[in-house]
Amino acid sequence: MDAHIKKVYVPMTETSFYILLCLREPNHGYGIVQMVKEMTEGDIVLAPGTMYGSLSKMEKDGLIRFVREEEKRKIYSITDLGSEVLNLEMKRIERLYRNMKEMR
Amino acid sequence: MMGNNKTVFKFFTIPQYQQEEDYLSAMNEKGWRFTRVTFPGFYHFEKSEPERFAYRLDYNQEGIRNKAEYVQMFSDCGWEYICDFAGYSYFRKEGVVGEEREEIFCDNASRLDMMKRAYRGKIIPVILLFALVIISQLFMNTLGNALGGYSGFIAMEILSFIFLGLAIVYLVFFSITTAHYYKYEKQISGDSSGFRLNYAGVFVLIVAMIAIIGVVFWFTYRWSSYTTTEIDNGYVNGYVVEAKMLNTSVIKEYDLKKGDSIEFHIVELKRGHLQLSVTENGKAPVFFCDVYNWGYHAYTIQNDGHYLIEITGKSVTGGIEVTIE
Repeated sequence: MDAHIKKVYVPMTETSFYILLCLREPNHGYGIVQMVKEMTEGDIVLAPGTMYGSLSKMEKDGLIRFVREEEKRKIYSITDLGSEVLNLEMKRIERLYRNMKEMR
Repeated sequence: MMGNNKTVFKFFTIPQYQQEEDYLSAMNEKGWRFTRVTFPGFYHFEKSEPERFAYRLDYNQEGIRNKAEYVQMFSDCGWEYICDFAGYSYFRKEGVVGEEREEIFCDNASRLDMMKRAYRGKIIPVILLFALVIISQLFMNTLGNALGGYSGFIAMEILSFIFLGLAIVYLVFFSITTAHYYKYEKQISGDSSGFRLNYAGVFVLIVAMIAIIGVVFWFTYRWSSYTTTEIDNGYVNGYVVEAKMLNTSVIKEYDLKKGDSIEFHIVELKRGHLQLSVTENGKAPVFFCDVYNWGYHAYTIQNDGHYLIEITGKSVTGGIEVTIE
């Protein structure tokens, strides 16, 4: 993993994290918005400008790839690099969570 | 009776997009529904019932290139697409004005990314305009001659100053934008080091361009290289100017009598243009002309007196022979 990817995505924004998490199964932008809304009981509603910008940026950086288009909606899926970055983030958040539990 | 359409000219810099959004919402509440923007900043409205609409701007060239898919994403989220202008896309959603601002960006990182895309998009015209100034200056003579001697030369000169004017105007707007952007980034992230690092390069670039233009203008208008040789073979008096780059005035003074004839032979004029003049001390010129080609010009003195003969060159390469009989 090169320095640029590390600098931009470790740690990453909540939006980026949810995008990678959801794209372990192929999905389109609005699909991700709905999934995240469900997962967070409506607390997090990802906005379209953020979604569109993040998806194209992540595609350019090779974290996700375009699979196909369905009814004017682009379907993406995570790449090996994306999984690697996601795992790093998961480990970081796990540690964060562990430490929070211990200190409470 | 008022018309059903209204056009308003407004100028917003990139980081003032929230003011722009609020302005469109306010207009809509007053019964003017926004329809489109046209160059260089005319906002078009049509008469409607007073309505509550939230307006939002996104800057995404890639979105504009893949419009169907881009607009679909927004409409899935409940945003109606209105139009594009200069890289911006305008969206609206009904009923959400006021306390809870519904945004098309849900985090500051992506909001700042949008602003960066917009900022980068505005740098390109700066570079383009400066390039045009430099090109039209550097090749004024060659291009001017190719376009047709005198008129071509004048056209290039006018063009180059128009470009320079445009570049300066744009630079002023660009600087205002940069200042706003700087404030905005500081406000969002509480830190502007990223800005300073990323955009210091842009400033270096602009300064370098101004320096290049300065050097080009200096060379075109200041730098001179020429020699003068006196002619005095008993019956003809005069001198020859051999110029590699004449950008100054060559002035010679003579006491002349009525009937004396001053003759200018443009032996060679490879580049640039000349101004010839004959002036009696302290008076308006008695003879004046612009020269863009080889040729012969003469003036016969009408009154005895002390005269200045002046040859002014603009990037002239060639030979001029002046004789007095």
